[in-house]
Amino acid sequence: MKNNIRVERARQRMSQQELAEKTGVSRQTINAIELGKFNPSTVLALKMSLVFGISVNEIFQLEEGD
Amino acid sequence: MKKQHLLPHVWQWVGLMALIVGLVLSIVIFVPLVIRGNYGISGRMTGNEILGELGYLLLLPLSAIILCFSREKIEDERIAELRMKSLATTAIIFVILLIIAPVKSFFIVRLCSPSFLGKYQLLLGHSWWMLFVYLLIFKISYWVQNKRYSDEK
Repeated sequence: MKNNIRVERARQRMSQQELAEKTGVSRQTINAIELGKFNPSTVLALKMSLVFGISVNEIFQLEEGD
Repeated sequence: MKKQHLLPHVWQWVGLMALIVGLVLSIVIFVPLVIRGNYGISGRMTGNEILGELGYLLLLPLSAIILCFSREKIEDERIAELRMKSLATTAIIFVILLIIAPVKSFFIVRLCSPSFLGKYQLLLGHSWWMLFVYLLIFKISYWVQNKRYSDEK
């Protein structure tokens, strides 16, 4: 699963720490998600979509083989 | 995220203190007593034996329980997944140990003296060692993951 978290963060000028605080996880977790090493739960994905103000589909996309 | 029934993070310090005291009492008093064969030979317990047992048989397992069941600073779903993976790895290790236990017992009983067997049982024959194995696996993977993901790339 790929994601546009880094792009969205850059667009909204938000640091990993700020996003982590707004979603209630650690900065390392945000980094792991951005790097594609950890898949977030539905709840966390929805929280991110709320923070960015876009739909979950715009943040996360399935890749071939998923 | 589902509510996790863990002790507050501050309990990690309580667990750490109990672990240090338990380790000191075990290394200084209990283990030497058992290895020298001076444990439980007199009819009633000596002061050293009581202190040693307090450290090895009470404080060590208690500290393991506290450390296993207390929260990390930020306890999120990545940490919850890490806990599950560590628990699964620990279970696999102990199932393997359980499978090879008859073979191990066969050799220990035939090759070792009864006094060695007693010492071995007294020092290592406790199920709470499993908690320390879990703790070791969890803490190492927690540290490695946090180090790996701490740089904002």
